[in-house]
Amino acid sequence: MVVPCVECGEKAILKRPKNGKKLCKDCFYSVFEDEIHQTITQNNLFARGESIAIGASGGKDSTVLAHIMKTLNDRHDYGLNLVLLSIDEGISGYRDDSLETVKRNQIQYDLPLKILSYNDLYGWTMDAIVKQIGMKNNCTFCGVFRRQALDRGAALLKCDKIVTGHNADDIAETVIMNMLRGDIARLGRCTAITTGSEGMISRSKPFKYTYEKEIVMYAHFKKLDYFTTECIYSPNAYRGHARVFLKDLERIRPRAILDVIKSGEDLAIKDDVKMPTQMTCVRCGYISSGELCKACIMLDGLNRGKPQLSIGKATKRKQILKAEAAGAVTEMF
Amino acid sequence: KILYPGEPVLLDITGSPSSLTLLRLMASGYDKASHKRITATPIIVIIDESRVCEVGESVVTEVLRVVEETPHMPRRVVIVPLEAVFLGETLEAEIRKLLNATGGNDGNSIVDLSELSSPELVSQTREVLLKPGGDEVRGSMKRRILTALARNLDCSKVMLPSTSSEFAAKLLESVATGRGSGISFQCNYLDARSREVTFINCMREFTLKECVYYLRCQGVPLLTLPQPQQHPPSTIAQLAESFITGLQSEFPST
Repeated sequence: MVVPCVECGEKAILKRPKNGKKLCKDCFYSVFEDEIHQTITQNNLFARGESIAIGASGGKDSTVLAHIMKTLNDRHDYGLNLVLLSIDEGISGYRDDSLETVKRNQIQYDLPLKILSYNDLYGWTMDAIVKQIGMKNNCTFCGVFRRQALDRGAALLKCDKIVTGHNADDIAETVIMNMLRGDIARLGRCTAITTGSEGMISRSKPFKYTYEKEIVMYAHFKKLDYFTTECIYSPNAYRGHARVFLKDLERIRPRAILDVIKSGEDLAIKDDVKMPTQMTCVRCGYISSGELCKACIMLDGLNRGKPQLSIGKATKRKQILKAEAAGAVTEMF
Repeated sequence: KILYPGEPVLLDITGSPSSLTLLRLMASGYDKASHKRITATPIIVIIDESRVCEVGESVVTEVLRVVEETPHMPRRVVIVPLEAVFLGETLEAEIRKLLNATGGNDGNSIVDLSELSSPELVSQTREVLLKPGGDEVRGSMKRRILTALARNLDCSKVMLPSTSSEFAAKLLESVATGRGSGISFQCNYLDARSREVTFINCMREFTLKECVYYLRCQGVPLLTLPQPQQHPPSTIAQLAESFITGLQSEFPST
């Protein structure tokens, strides 16, 4: 039995995960691209003449992001100057392969590419970090370092904004994860489509309301060139628990992903809840909620051979430093 | 200072481990030898679901036995059928009529309001609870009954036995169904959304596991509570509950 496309009546080849509508290939492309265009225009993500750094990892999200940004920039004349920005975390067998994909994307989309590595920026690769800290908490290090690396890369390229391929599933997982951890500060910011404060390069998420499944379908039907392997250090990440819950939720009710994002947007924080104040790191000048930014604290811990200093609560860190100081004093006498 | 001397307060005792723990904790406050005594007047409310769940009266009998065996606890009990909520606007009037007829307002020990039930109400309730979201509807039905009882018995406070485990699952369910704006009302210690009645979530700081351990230490046997079968078996509430329970075992602060 031939199922017709709800938009044009032609033969439907897929069912949209978001709303179950049956569409043909061309209508799916059109609907997918239009929704992202709506998100960009309604939220005023860009201004004419701006230089935009596209965070590119070679994965499906960033590949589709690069493709969509180029397509919509040409089609709707956004007047943007697009640049690909890639970060080499130094994960052998994973990142070196995905960077090859980004280099091909550079040629395919005719966009300039800049690659920054953790080794150049921090003197550490993720392989070396994991060797020191083990298989737990390594995503914490990578996430903090990558965030700063993207900002530094964008500043080097003199870009006005950064765009990343974070999709609806990622944001919903983040809401659930922050809820489970009671991280009220992050919960208040994680659903914002544009983040960043004064003096910092803002970053936007045009895929905020786009389902991961639809991104995969778009990449598959458009035969886009992307790298499919998961990071080899991610299996033990806490986010995995939130992901499992979200996938089970999606099976019961596909709309639940957008509902979680809506809940995150609607959460109201009481006035008397203590929130971190924005400061500047005294060492590197990066935005921070304390005297030192998280990246500097992590590097400090890694360089001293005590990576646990940067993980967990600040009180625990102070206890370790105090014990260290007491040990040093005892040794002296 | 939530409870004042002599103030009547309803205790929602369902037979669950948390409600039995609440009963024991309140009873310890009525012990004359207790350092900090509770002077409010408790009225134990048992919402009877036996007809809806088709299990006979065994659960109510068991709960009454536990109440009888709890030392120091004043024994003023009111039993209300869950299906009575479908009396709608006449619920309060019907409760008042029955309480006056049975002398429930005079401080009698056990007042059974089973006369509020009827086969039509039972089948109506069963049909509603079998649908997806039945758990949430059950919670709203119980709240409605407790509010109506509180108004008739001149109580302005109702103590509920929900634990942190149940709150966590409820919060996650609310987030998953797009009701994030209302979760701050759901998890307050004092829920004063109803104008005349304040619901006190006094077991909020305890996990279900802690309640079970407490009852075991106190030598109180746990009761098996039946649940009406739900179709489909997989609902967001059940998913949230099983997820939280699983995560709690790996990350105890969840």
